[in-house]
Amino acid sequence: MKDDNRLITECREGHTAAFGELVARYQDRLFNTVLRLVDNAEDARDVVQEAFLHAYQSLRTFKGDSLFFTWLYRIAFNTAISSRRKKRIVLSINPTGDDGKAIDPLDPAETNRPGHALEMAEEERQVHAALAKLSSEHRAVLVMKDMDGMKYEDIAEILGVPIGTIRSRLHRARLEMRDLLQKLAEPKDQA
Amino acid sequence: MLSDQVLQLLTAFVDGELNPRQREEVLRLLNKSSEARELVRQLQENANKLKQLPRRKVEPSLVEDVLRSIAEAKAIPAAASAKPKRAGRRWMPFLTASLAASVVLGVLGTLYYQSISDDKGDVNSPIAKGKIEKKPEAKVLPEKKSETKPTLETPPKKATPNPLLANLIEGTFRDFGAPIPVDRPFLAQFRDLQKDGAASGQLAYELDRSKAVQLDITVKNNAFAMDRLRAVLLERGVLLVSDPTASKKLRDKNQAKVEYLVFAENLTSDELTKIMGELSQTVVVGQKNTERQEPSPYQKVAVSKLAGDDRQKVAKLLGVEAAVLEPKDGKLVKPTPTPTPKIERQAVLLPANPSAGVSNEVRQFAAGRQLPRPGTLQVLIRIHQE
Repeated sequence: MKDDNRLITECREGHTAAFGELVARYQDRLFNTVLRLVDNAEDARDVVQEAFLHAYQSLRTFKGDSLFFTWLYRIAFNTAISSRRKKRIVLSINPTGDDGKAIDPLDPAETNRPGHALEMAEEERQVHAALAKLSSEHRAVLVMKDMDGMKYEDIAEILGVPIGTIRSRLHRARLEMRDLLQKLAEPKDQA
Repeated sequence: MLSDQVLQLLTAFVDGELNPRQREEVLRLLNKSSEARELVRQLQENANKLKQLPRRKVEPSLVEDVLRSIAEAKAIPAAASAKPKRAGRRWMPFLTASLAASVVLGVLGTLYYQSISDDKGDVNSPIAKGKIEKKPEAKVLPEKKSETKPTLETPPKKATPNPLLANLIEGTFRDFGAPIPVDRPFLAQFRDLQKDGAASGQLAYELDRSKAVQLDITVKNNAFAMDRLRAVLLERGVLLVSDPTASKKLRDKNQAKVEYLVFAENLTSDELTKIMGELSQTVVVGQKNTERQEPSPYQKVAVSKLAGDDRQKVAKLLGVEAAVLEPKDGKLVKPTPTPTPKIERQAVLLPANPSAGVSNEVRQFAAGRQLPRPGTLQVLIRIHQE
């Protein structure tokens, strides 16, 4: 398998198919992240598609100082934010994160345990609901850190803010998320 | 009650972003404080919930959509004009363009108005004054002498703007809102067309966009490439008729850099895509004992719409009127002749720069051309050695 830099060089030489390989390589990862930022599969798809197109158009400006995915992520993140601003998306508390379509885990074996699917669906509903109540800033850092496993340094680079800001933003986001999840769990516990 | 500073340390601990000294400090705190332990437990649990959110696959894959967006927008790396079909602020470019156009129209309108006003004879304008004074027949009528404004004896002349300005304004109005023609050819490497991947899909898409296309193909060896094309066309029931001059030049090693034209009709975009795919394959050459594999001589292809002057050139080479080669909107003018069992169609190999007139072979090809079938393409392939 060709590495990213090789594919990028080929793209710059005019081989569009090489860019197709990069899209195939990162589309799922990017889509899952963006899905948590815009909370709608159709919008997420649009955002990812637009991000790839922007990336292709800006490929000459990619200097390789950071990983290609980090660079791509920054483009996608900015696209997602502008998409949300434009649409003023009201986040739905939807356990599936889509228009009623269930999200299939990549590993179907997880669903084999009896009751597991229900538990997961409920937990996911709560996480979604809590995420939906967070501000864009808090939601973004949580998604980048927990879903994408990024370091503070990478998050700071993507968002263009100092590492200290990321540290305090994540701190507040985690505490807020904890409070929200506790509140969402309360009615069930009381019942 | 934990202080905010301690809370920050604990969240950073959960994030795995502490230096060894800070980590030691937090571990000591966790040994002492149940409150700290409970908070860390909660934060880790919540982080895991996020980590465990189900991941989905993008279905259908975005590869084709992205490549199509790039092709549609004719995007090239570093260009900044392309947008995907459904994304972003789609109205933004239009708004920007409209505002820019409004400003231009405003300026032009002002100039236009001024030029008309000038011709109408603004007496205060020095230009108008000069014009009136220069006309000897322009006399002030005696009975109108008492009026404050002089009346001219000549009938009022229709206002005529500066023709250059009028053309500019007329063109601006006519072309306002019209799409900007940006027609860059689609480029592909043959090695990318070897399998039915994204490049093949994009090629088929590009071919579908028009009824007549031109393929500019770079090869490593003209003669070898032409042999391959001949064989691949024949497999699809297309006989390649050759102009004798072109054939002779192909075998002449001193004529390696000569460009050749192959003109074909009634090929579908799907067929043409497959032909390109087959041309990209490795070839087995030689006899039984000397059999060996040769890489494809085909290097890259650029696809563009067949331009009018190129069609005229082909018409001239075929010895027919250019109008005869105009594609007919995919409608049959008369019933298609019954095809022969195997060889249904013909293509013709032409020298790009003929030294002699139209050969008999080419004349026969032109006379025997079939009418265009619906949904098929007219193709001009330019082949040149790199």
